[in-house]
Amino acid sequence: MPGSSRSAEWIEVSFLVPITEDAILGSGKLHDYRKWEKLQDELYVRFGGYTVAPGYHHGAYTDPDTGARVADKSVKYHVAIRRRDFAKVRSFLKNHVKMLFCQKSIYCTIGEKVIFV
Amino acid sequence: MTNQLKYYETLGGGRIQKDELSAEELQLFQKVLNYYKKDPSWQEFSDFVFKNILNELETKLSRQKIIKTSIYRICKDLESRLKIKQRVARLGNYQDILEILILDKYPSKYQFCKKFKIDEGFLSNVLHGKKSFSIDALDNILNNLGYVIEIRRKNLTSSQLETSLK
Repeated sequence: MPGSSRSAEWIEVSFLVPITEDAILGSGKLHDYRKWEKLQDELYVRFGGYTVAPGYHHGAYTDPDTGARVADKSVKYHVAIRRRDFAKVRSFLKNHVKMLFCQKSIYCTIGEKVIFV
Repeated sequence: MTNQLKYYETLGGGRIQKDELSAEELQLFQKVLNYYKKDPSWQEFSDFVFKNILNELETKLSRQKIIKTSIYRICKDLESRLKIKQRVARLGNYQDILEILILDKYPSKYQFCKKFKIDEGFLSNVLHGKKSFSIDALDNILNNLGYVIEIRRKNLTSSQLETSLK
């Protein structure tokens, strides 16, 4: 396609936000409703919108610090962005979402690629 | 805020006067309220708001302006009520608000602690309700974040909130 470049391609980035704080870093409790409002306002303003996947994603992983098996329940967000803006999404997840929701890392996917931010 | 009510009260105790909404916003409010009363999942509600409210507002306003409108705040508040009812979120406390304000103004809690010469462990205990700031210390911190302590009427209980929307 004339004038187009790979960096201008639209891609879908998805990420999971557990519905509770990390039990070691935080309280293990549900998040204050204001934190979800903040996340969604930021996604809307910074990236033009988002889609919330229906239902919840149940998962389990081994905590690298304690070696304990941890089960969690997460909300999945999808955001459509230009490929060149992926660094902005990654920075947003690392510097805002991870801290706001008190998580050790955020599980993020681009296509089949998985990234722990 | 139906015909009988003069204002909409948010979960945080803020009041949005009916007069603040334009005729068009009142129509959108009625539309969103009717959908809310069907008790959808919060994800379905979020999708409904995007398709029926935000797409409409985006023909006239920027996204930065939309999030400041009363109708947007009401939609977000209704969505939060669904999240609480569906046990995905909780009504927080002052510690949650303080944490959000800190992360809004500082790159990390560490940077905040450095600025106010607060031990990071102490802040963590405060945010988890194990320790407290004195009123004077809290007042000083909030002042620097651009906020003040205010005494206001207690929030409506969940059942009162539901009743006020009928």
